[in-house]
Order: sequence, then structure tokens, then C-alpha cells
Amino acid sequence: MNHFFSFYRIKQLAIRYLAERGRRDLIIIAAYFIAFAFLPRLGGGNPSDASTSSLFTLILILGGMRFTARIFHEIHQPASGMHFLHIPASRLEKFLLNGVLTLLFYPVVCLLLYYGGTLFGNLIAPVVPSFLNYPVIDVSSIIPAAYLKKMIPQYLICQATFFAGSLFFKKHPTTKTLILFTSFFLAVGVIQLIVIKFLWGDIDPMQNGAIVINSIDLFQAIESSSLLTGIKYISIAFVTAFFWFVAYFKFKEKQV
Amino acid sequence: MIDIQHLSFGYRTQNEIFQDLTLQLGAGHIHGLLGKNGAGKTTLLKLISGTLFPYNGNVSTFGFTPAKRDPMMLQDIYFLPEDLFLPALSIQSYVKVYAPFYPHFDYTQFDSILQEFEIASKTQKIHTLSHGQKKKVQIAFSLAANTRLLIMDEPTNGLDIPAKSQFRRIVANAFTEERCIIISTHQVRDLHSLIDYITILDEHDIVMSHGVEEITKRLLFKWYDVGEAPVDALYTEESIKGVAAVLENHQQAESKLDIEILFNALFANKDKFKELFKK
Repeated sequence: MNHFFSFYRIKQLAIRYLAERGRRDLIIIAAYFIAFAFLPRLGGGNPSDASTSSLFTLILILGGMRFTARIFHEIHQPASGMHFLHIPASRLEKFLLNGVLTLLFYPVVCLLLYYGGTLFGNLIAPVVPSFLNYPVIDVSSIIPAAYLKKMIPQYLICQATFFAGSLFFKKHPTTKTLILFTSFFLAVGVIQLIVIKFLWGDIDPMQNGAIVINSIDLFQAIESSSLLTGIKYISIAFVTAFFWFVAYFKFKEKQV
Repeated sequence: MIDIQHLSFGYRTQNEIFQDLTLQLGAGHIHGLLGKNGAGKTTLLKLISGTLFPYNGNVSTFGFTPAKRDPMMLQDIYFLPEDLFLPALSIQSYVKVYAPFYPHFDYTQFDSILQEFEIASKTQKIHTLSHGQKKKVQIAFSLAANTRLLIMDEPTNGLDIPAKSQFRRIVANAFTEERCIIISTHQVRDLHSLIDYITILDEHDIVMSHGVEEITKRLLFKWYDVGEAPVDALYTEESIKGVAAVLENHQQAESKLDIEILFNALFANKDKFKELFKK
């Protein structure tokens, strides 16, 4: 067991991560904190629940993409790659730590910063004249459980894809994975169009409207049907697991 | 300690660096790994430590397959590369972070090596040090890690003249019969007195792998005045000092090995030397 997995070595790897990258992460943490504290209140608009949540979504998903896509950055450079691969910890331990950092550490820190930043904004709002109109955001109500439930699958897929991307792409992993990710869904869209054209021939605007309404119905049907919801979650789990496996085998075979 | 059997490797399948290479390197020696540029010295070291995987054949390091990068193996190997990578940490933080990975790390030894290299403050950030100082910190760490296998790729590159002799002294002091040190270098003069086993690579294979004692038993290294070198010398090389000659050591006479001359002699007459060491 000790050959492949040891909490002591994982702890040491985590200490190493914090020592080497902690300062950089601290700058990002400070930026997020400020963003959550001030951005929802700027521009004179009402810092509604929706605007705060969308800022959280933006930071969680886009920031998460960037954070995850660079997690294996060091193994692509000859000198730092040699250094990393020679650290006496198993491949599984190194892989797991980076997995935990991107899968748990990042979203949890984001969530804490979101609450912390919003509370801080509430705290200083009375002394900032431009915030006086909308001084208090109800922290407890703006990220409801339903919202988090919706976000988790989205984050899981993004995390797994960009995690694999960080191992496959030496340069510009964020952009390249994003392009691939987008291309995949575009390809799915094109296939759908071809199928529709094949089934119904040329579509006039009326039919187009009907298809849009049907697709909205389909989304609602997915949400309301436990069978379809189950299929959706199984598909998400399958895609996520697939990218995790691909990433692990790529990492195992990494040579510098 | 290291057993390589029928190893084949190349960065491209059509262009193999090693073909059917077989080599054993044991503990209790400071091995000098020599070869021309591009002979595959660093590649071989990477194969031994598990950062490259062979196409064919087996590599075994303390009985482990290096490609699996087992932590039990990695904690007993330290690879000091030519291109250093040192994170933006102070020397003391670096030790705090990395030393726990090596169970035999000796903090006192690390401090005393740093002192010998005249690096006074451990609070200095490593990335702000000069190349030579960074190398000294890495050398100190690699020796204090007390791993059974220590691999050093061009360790004296970037060291100043006093540091080179300090390096020889420090390595000699840190060496034990349980350890195996492999030094890949072009600077043979820097490490002449340190190396006691020589492995020379060329054209996909090992041309020579023998202890210094064995080499001087078979070869005689002598200096002559110009025009006085014997005609049956295996190799001669003229310099300001006179003529350096390599002869067959029929009389079992004692001589001091000159690695640079041995290297040149070997490449001037490879077949003859191979035959001589087959006996």
C-alpha cells in the first residue's frame, strides 16, 4: 500500500504546492475577494441575486477552466518536468493531489471567497456613499441549493475536460481545450441540423420556431422526468469519468 | 544496483540511440559516464531514473522498473540535472519542502556542505542566486539526501575554479560503499581523481565499461619526449608537455590513468580496444 498511496506523501505534496504556488494563488484570491465585494454593487444597478450568482458562475467556470488547464503546466517544461517526476511520490498521489486541487480546493475557495467578499461588501457598504442605495445583499439566499445542484455537473464536466487538456497540451492549454470543447458541441449542433434536415427537409421560420419550442419542452421534460434526469446524470458521469481515465493514463505515460 | 538488458531506445523509431544495450552498474563506485555530444548520456540517465521508457529490453534500478516511478525507488535516487530547476523559494524553505521526501536526508550534512561552498545565508531566495550558487545548493541537497543512487549530469558546469576542487572533496567525503554515484561529464579533468569506474558510450552501444584499476592493468599511460614514443603504442598524442602514449601493459607496470587520453585513444582505435578488453 505504501508503494502507491500514503497520506504523508500527499501532505508533503500539498505543502510543496502551497510553498511554490501559494503566493500566486493568494493574489488571485485577493482579486476574487475584491470582485465579490464590489462588482455586484457597481454601476448603480441593484445588486440582485441574479447578478451576484452570475459573477460567481463566471469566476467558478472561467477561472476554474484557467486554473485546471494549468495544473500540470510544470511537467511540460524539460527542467521542471524532470524535477516534478523525480519527486518521491507515486503517480497516483501526484495525480490525485492535482485532482483534489481542481475539483475541491478551487470551488470551495471560490465559494468561501464569494460569501466572505459579499459579507465584506455588506460591512463596508454603509461607509461607501455609492453603495448606500443597496447596502445589503442577503448572502444566505443568493446561492440556493438548487443553483449549486445545477452548477456541480457543469463544473464537473469542465474540470474533467480541462484537467485532461492540461496533460495533452504543452502550450496554451486553456485556449486549445476551449477550442476543442466548443468544436465538439458545434459538431453535435451540426449533426443535429443534418438530422433535422434529413427528417423534415428545408425548414421555414415557422418550423424553426416550433423546433425551438419543442427543444424548450424537451429541456422541461428532462427536468421533470426522473428517467431522463437519470440519463442526463449518467451521461455526465460517463463523460467526466472518461476524461479522468484519459488524463490518468496520459499522466502515467508522461516522459520528459 | 542497475541492470540494463538488451535496451533499445530512440526519440524516433527510425533513429535509435541505443540498440540492444546491456550494462551493469554497481554500488561502491563513482561511475564516469562519457561519450561524444549526442551519444545518449543524458538519455541513458533518464532511462535509469524513469523519466524515459525503453522501446525494448529491461532496465532495473534496485530491482524496480524505473518507468513505474515507484516512490520507494524515487526516494533512493537523486538526479542532479544539467538544466537546473529551482522554485522561487529560500534555501531553508526548499529544504523544508523537499527534505521530508528523502528518509535519509541529513540536515547537518547539508549545512556543512553549504558552509564549505561558502553559501552563508539560507534565507536567500534560490532564484536570485547566480547559476554557480544555484548549482552549489543543488549539489549540497543531492549529497545530503543520502540516496543510494546519485546521478549527476555535468555537475561541474558553471562552478568556479575553487568550487571544483571543493566539489571533489565534498563528493569524496559523502561517498560510501553502499552508494552508487554516476557522473556524466565532458569535463573529465575536473573529475579525474574522483571517478573510479569508466563507461564510454558511442554509436548505440557501450564501448567500454571498466574500473580504473582494470584499465590501468591492461593499458599503460606514459609521457615521452617528442620522437621517443614507441612505435607499437596504441595511441599517441602530442602536446607542449611532450607525447602522451597509451600502450598495452604487458609488464603489469603501474601508471596513472588519463581519462582524456583514454577517450581519444579509444575513438582513434575502437576495434583494437574492444578486442583488448575482451581478453
